[in-house]
Amino acid sequence: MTHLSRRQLLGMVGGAAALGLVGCGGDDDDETPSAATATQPSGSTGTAPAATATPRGVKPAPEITYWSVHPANSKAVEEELIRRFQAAYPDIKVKLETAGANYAEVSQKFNAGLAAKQIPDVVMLSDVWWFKYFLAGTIEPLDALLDEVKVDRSDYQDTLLKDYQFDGKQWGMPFARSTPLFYYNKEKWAAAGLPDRGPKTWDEFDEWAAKLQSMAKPGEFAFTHVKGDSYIAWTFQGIIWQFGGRYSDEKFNMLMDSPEGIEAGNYIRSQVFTKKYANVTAKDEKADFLAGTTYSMLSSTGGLAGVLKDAKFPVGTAFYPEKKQFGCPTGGAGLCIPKAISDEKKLAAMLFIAFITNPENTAYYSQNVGYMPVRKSAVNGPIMTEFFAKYPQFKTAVDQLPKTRPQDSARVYVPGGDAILGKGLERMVLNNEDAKNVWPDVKKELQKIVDTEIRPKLKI
Amino acid sequence: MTTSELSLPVRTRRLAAARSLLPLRAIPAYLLLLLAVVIIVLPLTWMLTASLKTRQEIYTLPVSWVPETFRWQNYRQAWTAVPFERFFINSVVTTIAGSGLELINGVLTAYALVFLPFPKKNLIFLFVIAALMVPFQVTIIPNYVLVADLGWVNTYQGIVIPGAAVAFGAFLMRQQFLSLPREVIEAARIDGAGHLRMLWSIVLPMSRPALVTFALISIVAKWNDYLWPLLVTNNDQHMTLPVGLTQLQHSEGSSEWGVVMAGAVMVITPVLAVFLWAQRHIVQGLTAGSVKG
Amino acid sequence: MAHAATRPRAPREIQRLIPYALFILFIAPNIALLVLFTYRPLVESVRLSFYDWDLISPQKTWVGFENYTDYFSDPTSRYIIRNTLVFTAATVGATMAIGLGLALLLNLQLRARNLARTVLFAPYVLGGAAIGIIWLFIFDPRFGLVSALLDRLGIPSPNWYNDPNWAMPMVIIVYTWKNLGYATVIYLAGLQTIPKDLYEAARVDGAGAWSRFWHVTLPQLSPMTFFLLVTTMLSSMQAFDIISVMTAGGPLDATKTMVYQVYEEAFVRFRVGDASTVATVLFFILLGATLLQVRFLERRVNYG
Repeated sequence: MTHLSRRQLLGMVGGAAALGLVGCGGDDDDETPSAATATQPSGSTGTAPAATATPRGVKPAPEITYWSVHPANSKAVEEELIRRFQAAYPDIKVKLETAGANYAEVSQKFNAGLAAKQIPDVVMLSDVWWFKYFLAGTIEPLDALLDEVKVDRSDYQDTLLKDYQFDGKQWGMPFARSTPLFYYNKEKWAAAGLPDRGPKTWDEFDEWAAKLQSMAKPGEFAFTHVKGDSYIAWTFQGIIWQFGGRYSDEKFNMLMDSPEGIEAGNYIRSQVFTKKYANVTAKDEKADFLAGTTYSMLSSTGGLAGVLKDAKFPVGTAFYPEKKQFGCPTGGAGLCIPKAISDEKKLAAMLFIAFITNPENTAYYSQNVGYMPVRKSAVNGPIMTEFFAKYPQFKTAVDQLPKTRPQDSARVYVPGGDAILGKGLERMVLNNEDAKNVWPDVKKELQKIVDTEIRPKLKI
Repeated sequence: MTTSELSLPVRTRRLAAARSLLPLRAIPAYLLLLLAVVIIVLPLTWMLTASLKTRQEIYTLPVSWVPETFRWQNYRQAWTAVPFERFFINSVVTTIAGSGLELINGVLTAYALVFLPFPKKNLIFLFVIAALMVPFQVTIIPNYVLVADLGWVNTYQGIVIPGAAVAFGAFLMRQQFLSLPREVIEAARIDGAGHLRMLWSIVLPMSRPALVTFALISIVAKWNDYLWPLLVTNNDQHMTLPVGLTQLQHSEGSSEWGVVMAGAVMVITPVLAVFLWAQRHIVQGLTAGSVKG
Repeated sequence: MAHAATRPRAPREIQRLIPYALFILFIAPNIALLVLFTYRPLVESVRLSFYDWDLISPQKTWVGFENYTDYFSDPTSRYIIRNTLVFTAATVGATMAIGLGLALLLNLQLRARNLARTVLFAPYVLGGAAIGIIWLFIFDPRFGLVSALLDRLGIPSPNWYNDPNWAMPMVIIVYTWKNLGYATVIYLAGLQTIPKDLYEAARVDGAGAWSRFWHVTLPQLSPMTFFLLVTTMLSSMQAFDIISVMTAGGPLDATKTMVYQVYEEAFVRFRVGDASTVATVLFFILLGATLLQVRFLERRVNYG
């Protein structure tokens, strides 16, 4: 048993070959077709160096567990990715486990699991959660493992990769990565006599929305906001930037209570309570949008495939509207590896992560769910190009990506920061509270966590 | 009632019969009762019909009361989207084990308190029932830490053992044992029956109704238990049905109500069946505490 | 003594001790479990409330009374205590009042009353998690049963999920729906034990229906009322499943009760010290409330 079985070896070599090819990175064009070999367990490309026969003499574990929340109802797609991995690596069994309804829940479960020493080998940690585990020292820096399985980091989208870097190390790999998009119902747009595009600015949208609202039936709205647990602090982050404000700076100074921040907060509040063309979704903004009861929304690219599939009307996607400037965050989740598992498990976990984020698989995932392809070669490859031509809605996110900027530390680095910001924003859009009164409370709460949990550890 | 009615003069008997039929006076009472029954039944009916609707139908206004087509597919989807079968087995195992241990503990504790000699038995009894005063939620953190330290997270014993201590059941059985006729017990003792035999062949058979009641209350509680299994299981392998149902809700996303309702139907049907089969006992047991004060 | 003599094999002394040994044997497992999983955690919970701990760090930080001063100075805590009291008062009040009404109905010689009793009691045996999920769909502000019914009456459905003013009524309705049958059945059992001649005597004294209810029924039911008050208060104060599944304490903490706060601080935010502080406060509130009830109400109970 200490020796690799032939099948295992062949499988590994097959996968490794694909990885190796992907590793050739920069020259994009010939990537995707050859990456297809990754799905074949046959050793047809067996002449390639066995990259995964590890220099350390560690062999990948026979079974790993993967905790996911199947963002945007992507369970079936993840299962297909696992099937593909299984075909390429028949000797590494991957157990997919549903670890909650959303990113916060998988994080809770991971934390509780750490206490009970019952943890997965690959865990989905979103933009706002991985840092907590970095601080606690419970996730593994991936650099050595990435080198070991010869993953070409330069082929990953730079911004997406950077979101999981700190201290000069890589703590997670981008997987289900997104930006918020402006979705609109083209039928309603046409009925209101609006041009077939998203609004360029919020001022323009105010005019449009008034028109849309005038034709709405009771209970229908031109626009919808999400709640805290659907990440209003994420979609609003773009808005606060557009108004010239921000949640915080890199040094963890909390800045949301600036005049710009207050203006932005009161703007979304006015959409609901003064202009009355927006509501707050009861549960799922996409379900409301699909039911035709809200005509537009800011929602993750992650749900795009589902929205297009289920919509009974033509759907348009557009960039964020602007205010004083453009502003748009990236978001979504990456995959991390816990520190406290065996080297064998870590290696197998890394192989799995590398495999499901390889150009072909990220393209597959992107097309079937809606998240952005995390690999440059996938974006420019023929599969996605053809796909974009057919479904231009998908291209919006990729086009928007270069215009995004890294998220504010208050949301992504302060443990629980997203929830605290989200609750503050809920006070504005659910309870009609003035941002002037809300932001100071939010600031105080966040500042306390920064002072007690972050500053001592980072010495900033 | 029936015997006394027979002895009544014919005229009065007719009156009595009419009274239980439908005199005008009773109409408001019937209507109120009907309203109450509807309020209880309607949500469950809604669940049942929704479990057979397509997603499209669920999201169409005005809502429909009867599904256009019966989409049995929802049940299959619920059964396969999450390992329902596994959850089912887990629920059965933990319910049987948990209730079994509770039953044994409750009976033995009550027997000891009633029939065996020991100094300061009243204090010991007090110690047992005072546990009823400790809210479960107050104990979850230290219990989770302990169970985690023992490596019992994601195990059956982790779900079952912390709930195997019994206070209410011991109280219930003690009341029952105290009510047994002394003479029978004394007679058995004079016959030289040991305590084990006495428990097994005299006390328990005489206490059957109370025992059944205790068992049923315990089974229902274990089957429905949510918070503790939620905390101590984090994978499908040992998850129980109530936790699995929320898992189904998560894995299907927030809009697949048809599938989620199908899951709910499957979760509540067994306990509803047990209840309908034995409702008299359950009701008796619950009222026992109040009537005996 | 007699049976000891029938077994001359063992020495008398040991014979005498056997029942004592048996007592210990019978009761020890239960006592051990109670100590380990009920009383130890109670003490441990109080101890943890003096520390800061995130459940995974190897060491806990002693903070003295800081968690308590934080707790009592935080307006959110007061809001949550208020929620807990509102939820408890409303559910206990509604359950008992409606339960009594239904019990009186069932006590009439109506047809199908046994069937009705069974139906009314059924929700009580269903799990809170399942009920929460079912009702979540029923309260769906657009596609749910409630909004469909309100639509028919021409009333726009409140946004049960989002509106901080309506979320609490929603969980109160669901909790009451689930527990109604319990109060009904207890009261019904009580009604059936009231001697008929008490009513006859009252009738002879010229008491009307209302007066008979007030002067005979209610006093005679006082043991049930007391029992229900204590038990439903304890269970309402500890309601978790329905709130967790339906609202998770939201929107904006509107349905967050102390029990949910304990869970959230411990297993969502991993602030074990804060969670234990709430748990300790909760324990003393429950203890206090129960002792008060026992002390001041039980005296007025008529055990007949």
